[in-house]
Amino acid sequence: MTTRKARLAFNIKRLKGFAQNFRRSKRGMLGVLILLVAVLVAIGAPWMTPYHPINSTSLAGNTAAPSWYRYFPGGEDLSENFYPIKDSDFSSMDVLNELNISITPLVQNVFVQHSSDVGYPGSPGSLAIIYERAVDTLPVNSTIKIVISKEFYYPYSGIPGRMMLGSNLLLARIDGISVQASLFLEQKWPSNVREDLFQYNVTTWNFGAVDVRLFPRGKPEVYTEENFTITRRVLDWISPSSPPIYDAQAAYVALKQLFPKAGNYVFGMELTIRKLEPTAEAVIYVDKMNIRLFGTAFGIMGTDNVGRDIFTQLVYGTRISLIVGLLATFLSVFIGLIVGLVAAYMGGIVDEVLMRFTDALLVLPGLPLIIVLMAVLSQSQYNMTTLIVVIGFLGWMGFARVVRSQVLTLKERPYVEAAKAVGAGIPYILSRHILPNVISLIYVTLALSVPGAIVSEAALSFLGFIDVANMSWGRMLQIAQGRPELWWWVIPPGLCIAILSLSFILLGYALDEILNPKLRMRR
Amino acid sequence: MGLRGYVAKRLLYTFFLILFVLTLNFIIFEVMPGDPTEFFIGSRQQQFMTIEEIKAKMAAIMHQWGLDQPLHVRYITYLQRMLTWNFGETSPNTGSKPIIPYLMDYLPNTIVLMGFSTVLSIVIGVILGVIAAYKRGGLFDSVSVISSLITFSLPTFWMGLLLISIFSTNLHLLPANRAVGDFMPLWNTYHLFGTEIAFPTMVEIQDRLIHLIMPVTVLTLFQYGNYLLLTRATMLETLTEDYIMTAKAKGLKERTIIFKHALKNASLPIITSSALALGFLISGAMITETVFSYPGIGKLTLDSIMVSMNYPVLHVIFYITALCVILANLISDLLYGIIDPRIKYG
Repeated sequence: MTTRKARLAFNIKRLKGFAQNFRRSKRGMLGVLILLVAVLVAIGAPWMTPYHPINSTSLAGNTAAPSWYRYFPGGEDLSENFYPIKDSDFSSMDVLNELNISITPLVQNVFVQHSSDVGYPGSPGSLAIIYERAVDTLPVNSTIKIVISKEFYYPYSGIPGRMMLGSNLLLARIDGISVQASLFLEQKWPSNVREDLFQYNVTTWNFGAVDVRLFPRGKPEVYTEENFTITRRVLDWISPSSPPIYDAQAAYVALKQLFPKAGNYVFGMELTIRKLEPTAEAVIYVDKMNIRLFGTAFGIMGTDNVGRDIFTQLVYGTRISLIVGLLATFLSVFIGLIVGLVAAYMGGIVDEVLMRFTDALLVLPGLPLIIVLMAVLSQSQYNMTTLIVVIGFLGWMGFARVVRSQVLTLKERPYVEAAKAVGAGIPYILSRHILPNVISLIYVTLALSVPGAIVSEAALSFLGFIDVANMSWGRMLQIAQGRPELWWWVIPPGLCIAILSLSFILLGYALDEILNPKLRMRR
Repeated sequence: MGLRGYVAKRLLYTFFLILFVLTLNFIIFEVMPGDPTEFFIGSRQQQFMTIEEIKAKMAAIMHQWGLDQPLHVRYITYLQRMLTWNFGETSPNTGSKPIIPYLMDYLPNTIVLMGFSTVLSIVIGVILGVIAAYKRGGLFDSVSVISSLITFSLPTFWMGLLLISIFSTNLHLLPANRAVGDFMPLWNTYHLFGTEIAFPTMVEIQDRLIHLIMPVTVLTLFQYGNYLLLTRATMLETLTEDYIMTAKAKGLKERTIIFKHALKNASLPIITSSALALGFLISGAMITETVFSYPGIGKLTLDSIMVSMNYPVLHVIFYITALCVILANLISDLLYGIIDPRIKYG
């Protein structure tokens, strides 16, 4: 019991001494600091960013610049995400204040009110347009225009990166009328000159270009002049079959025309109700009428080609680099240790065969060999496990040689001979006398081989050996390859690879200096 | 055992190593998935053929390539082909050209690229390393050590992307890819000793050099740190030797002490590691060549693996690369003895 305690105390003392030595090495401490930050980032990734590195697309416009770039020369024309309509779910009565609602001509039995019981699935509340069955003065075939709109100030001089708009309608009760709806965007400059007022029909969608009628019997029947049948049930929410998306790359001209400058704009929906019979009736619910303007600038680091957050990808990429780097290195150090130990300790023909095999692997070109093995081991899809195994299996040769030469000298030491004389077995000698003497080598090699594995992973991803489930730094660069002008996308991943590799190198050199006292004298 | 015995032993060992490498090379490509023959026919041709025709064509290709023979026969013919340097032809989908001329389209590009960058990085690394060691502990020392560590850990393909971004996309100064621009290569022909010798024109040489600037920069940045750290470490060791003290006491010029006394004695590891760099002459620039679409052996290797499954060419590339490394090891081992007479071969 006492011996164990004494040994523990001795070990703690040794560890303390090591820590003291280590603290003296500035570069080593820097390496540890960077590594610590990287590990924290890797673990805390889900808490650092709300998005997913691969699945969260369209967070902003595609290839949006970082937000802070707006305050630097060259970035004045960038815009940010801008959602003019605050409560697009129409969840509370307040929308009636937020939105402008106009009915022309103003008739007594047509009005708009908030409805809290009906709503598009997932969004409570909606606006109800009610045309009450009553005797009105309107002649048959006359129209009523209902405009629900929102005026807003667009604060950016540049165009949005992407514009998405849409609305959902529920034709709950319709009798003797036809409905046509369209979304519009209107420019209202501060001068408010009438000539400047110009209406741009963003989209017009008729409900299948049909007249919808509901006859008094309550049986829904739909017919058109061409007399074709429509399979859509009337009591469903209707939205445009393909919601219009205006992308800055695809629809630059249209967006430039829509948002030429900062100023007041009006977005809204125009419903045209045509009265077809002397007495008519309608209840129409409107929900999720929304315009979303995605910025050409977003977040700390901008977005990639499909609007994913680059910061998120960087944060999650730390995980991959650390996992691949560490696991591959552990694997290769383990193999190298075993091969070196066995070769040196067994000697003879075993040694010869193992070392010739090592030499042969050392002599073949490294990266091409890794690529060929990746192709051999993965059928059609590449995954991270294969990558780790391949990198690990091709990185052990140098270490095996070092271990072998070290063990060869250790083997001849008097204390090993003494142990043998007392009758100690091979496992005992290996674990008690040989291993403790190569352990410092193991630490140093571990630290110094991680960068190689990290860079290998990045290079392989860059060459197209991609695990589709993970976004690594190399994969980011692979996607960004053809777009060198997008510096906010190209620079960070490479810098991260360099910094993480550097931290391991610094750590390795510091360990080397402390654990191999001979080196310390040189400085 | 003297030098002769040592060389004989080394040569024997080298021969067995080559056999071992060749075997490994054979096994790797033997277990590679996919049927290369199907690939060799090409999908475009397959569209116009019936199944019987395809089968017949595949069988013909199998026979032509000896793929229908048992494994050990193939292994022996493979060994014969490799050892006699009678490599045969490339795969049919790359035109069934003879392999050596095919490789010669790419090899000079790679050798020029790697040669330039290796020489440059050795020169820069050694000079900076000497200065850093001499001004040890100073600002220059730490800056050069840190910067070499940083450039050492930067991924080469990323450096390439950045350089392309700056000098080619934004400044339009340098070409972003390929080894030579789009113009008809004009050759100057001279009559020397009765034979006609063709030389590339100055315009072409100039164009090729301009295309080399960025890849060479990337490779140099990647490599020089290695030589810097090595030079610095060995210089630090020799600068503490007694004969340096003696030289100082004699009142010799600092430059003489550094270059004649210290560097000369510290040069052994530098020279041997430079010799080892020869081994990477062929395979070392794979990523860089890919980034710059530079038509070298590295890019050819990648294309042969990922695009054309050109096994015959891959066999040869792997073989020649291995030979290069083996040769470099041999040279560096022999150099040791020639430069430093104290070393005995045993």
